[in-house]
Formats: sequence, structure tokens, C-alpha cells
Amino acid sequence: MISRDRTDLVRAYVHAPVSAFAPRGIVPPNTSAREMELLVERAQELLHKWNERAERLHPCMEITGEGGLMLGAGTMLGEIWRDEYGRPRLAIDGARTGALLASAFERPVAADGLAKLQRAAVLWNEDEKALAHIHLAHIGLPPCDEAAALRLFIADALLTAGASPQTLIEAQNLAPHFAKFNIDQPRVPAGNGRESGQWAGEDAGPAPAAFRSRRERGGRRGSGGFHAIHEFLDWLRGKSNESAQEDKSSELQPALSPTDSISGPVPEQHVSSPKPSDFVGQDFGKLGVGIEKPQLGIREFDSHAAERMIERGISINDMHDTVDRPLIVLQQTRGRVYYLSDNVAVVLNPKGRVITTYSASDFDAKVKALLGHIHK
Amino acid sequence: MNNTEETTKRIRTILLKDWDPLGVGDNPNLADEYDAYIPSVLALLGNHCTVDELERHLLGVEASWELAPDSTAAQTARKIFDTLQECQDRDA
Repeated sequence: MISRDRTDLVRAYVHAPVSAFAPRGIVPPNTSAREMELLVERAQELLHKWNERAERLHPCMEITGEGGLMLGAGTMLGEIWRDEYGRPRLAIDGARTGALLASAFERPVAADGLAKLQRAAVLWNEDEKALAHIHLAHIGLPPCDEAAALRLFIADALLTAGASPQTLIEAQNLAPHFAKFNIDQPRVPAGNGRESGQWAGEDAGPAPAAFRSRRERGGRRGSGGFHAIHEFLDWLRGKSNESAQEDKSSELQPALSPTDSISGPVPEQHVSSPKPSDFVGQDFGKLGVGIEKPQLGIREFDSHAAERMIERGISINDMHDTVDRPLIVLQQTRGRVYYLSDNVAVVLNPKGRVITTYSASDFDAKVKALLGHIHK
Repeated sequence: MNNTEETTKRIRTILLKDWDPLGVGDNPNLADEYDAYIPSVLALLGNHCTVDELERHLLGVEASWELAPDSTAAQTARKIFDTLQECQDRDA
């Protein structure tokens, strides 16, 4: 049975155009059982969609020629349309994209972050794809993990259902500057001496500049008023766990043979996959020496690396997957750090800047031999 | 193969085998890694640059990668000069 405070959030989703996350008590006392059923059906539909899309998460923004500007569980932050010559054009609706990003990362999005997004779209439309991705990287969003992807997904569902970006933002107590955001407003030029790349709040961790609103820059902490989405997500997660357990039991059922029923289920096999710590100290010649996975993530992209990415058909997500979950990490000369997965090799400088990358189709005999050693 | 093609090919090999700041020069599938820098090297050579100027140019390219310093740029510049000289002597 769904508790009352969860149900009103589900209803908020269903009736988003009118009342998205508006004052509590959306479900009136005389809500009928049928109405309740409809709310649950709608939530289940949403849950089903999420389960399908969550299988392939995109932790970083990526522009694809067919879809648009994508993040998280395939959520589109900006759409591709075709102009009169049939050329693909990426369009960013600043208000919508800002509302989505703010919902995903639980922070108001600063105007300069959105301006960089717009700039990336312009560059992409001018066929400067590498530069466009560099602009995206410089926005400095944190990786979109599963929780952020789910918040993004729900926010997108609300907008699709008809809620306005402003309604979504205001219902979540976001900084009021957002509603007044104007992409044409003159910007403070780069290099003005402002500190960048820090969270504004005193008890918060490091955060990108894209999420610092003007008020936060003045020392005010983010509002953190995303309780509505959180509560809805808690409820959805509960449902998700239930359905996952159901799936598991239904998968096991047909696998049981008559023999199993006598001798009991087959014991679970634990196959440990290779990890960087398995190869620490091993010398692989010019490729480098195995090290533990360092606390070094992808922080930015060099233009040389961006060009190699495009040429070699490597996505930002491929690189993030490799750096986040490498099979091996090698310390190379001159401070380079080499991350290898079965699909991609990524080389970072000591500061976390991607300096080059190549895909499995460019793995040479040495790299293939290394992978053979890893999987031995 | 004419002189320019030969010089270009040899510069490409030197950039991959001697300079190789990104550590991929051994991989034959990545032979194009530094191709983008060949035209500027050729332009400098065409303007009769010195070894030091060529070294500074290579260091300038490396600067954006912010790698730990070493002496490969100097050695590479020297080798490119020697190679150019060799090509010119042979043609003379």
C-alpha cells in the first residue's frame, strides 16, 4: 500500500501542468480508489521506463548527431533539429536545460554555465565538434551518477508532462536568479579574478563553477530544497528493489532442473574481474609500471585529445568508463597516467587532463598482449 | 619520392620515435599522432630557424600537456636539423 505522502508526489507527476510539486496535500481527502490506481499505474510506467534506460548511463554530457545533448539515462538536454538544408542543428533551451541540470545535481545552475552550454551548441552547429566538447568539459559538471541520472530522468518526465521549467525550479526552492536568467545578458568576462570551481556552502564538498549562483557566490548556501524529488525517488527505489527481486526469482525458476530440486541450488560462483591493484609494481616496458588506481579523474580535455577522440570515434563516456573502471593503470614517464579497459586507452597528465586516447581498433600487439596478461 | 616528401616522412618518424611526449610512438596504428605538428616544423625549417628556436617550438607544443620536463625536445630538434642537413647534402 502506498503511503499518503508518497501518493501526493505521484499525483504531482500526473498533474504536473497544474500543480507540479506545489504545496503539499495535493491528494484531497476524498480521492477515489480508482484515482489512486491511476496514480500507481503512471508511476509504474515511469519506473519501467527508467529500468530500461538506466542500463546505459552517460556520466558526462555528450552531443550525438542523431539525438542531441545527452546526459544520464539518455535524457536529452538539447534536441537536434534539421534546418532547411537538412543540416543537423543543436538547440539549447536555456530555461529547460537549466531546470533539468539543477534538478539532477540539486544545485541552481549559474548563468555562465548555461552560457557555456549555448556556446558549445553554437560551436557544434559550426562543425567545430571538438571545440564544442571542450566547452562542455569546461562547464565542469560533476559526473552524473545513477542518483543524479534518476533525478534528471524524473525532472524530464515532469517537463514532458507539461510542467514549466520555472514551476519545477520554484517548487524546489531554487535561487530566484534563475527565473530572470537571460542568455543575452552581458557576461562578466573570463579572467576577472573571481575564484572558481568551489562549492559556495561551508559544509559542502568541491563543486564546479556552473552551479554557483550569484547568491551562492555571495556566501549563501544552495537551497537544497529538493525534498519532493527525493521522497518520490525513495518511493521509486523501493518499488525498483521489489521488482528487481521479483525478476531475480522469476529468472531462477526455469533454471532449476529436476536434479537441482534434489541436490539444491547450484552454489553462486564468484569470479573476480581484474583490477589495477592486481598489477601494482609490474613493469610493462614503455607502456609503464602498474599502479593502484589513483584519485585522479578526468578534469579537462586537451584540444589534441579532443581531436583524437573525434578522429578515433571515442565518446567522452567511453573515456570516463575507462578512467572510472580501468582494468589496469600504468604510471608512465613524464608523469603520464595510462588507463586501459577492453575498449579504450586514455592517457592523462598529472593534473587529470586527457592528453590522448585511442580505441581497441588501434591497440597494437603490446597492448593486446597486456590485455591477454590481464585476463589470463 | 621527392625531397619534401622524404623530409616530411623523416620528421614524422623523429616526432614519433624521439620526441613522443604522449608515449604512443611505438604503436604503428597511431603513426598519425603528431602529424598535426609537422607543418609548423616544416614552416620553421623553411624560415631557416635555429635549433634553439625549433626546440622552443616543440616545448611550446608540449606546454599544453603540462608534463614533467625532460630533454627530448632538445634532442629532437637536433635530430631534425641533422636529418634536414643529411637530405640537403644528398641532394647537393
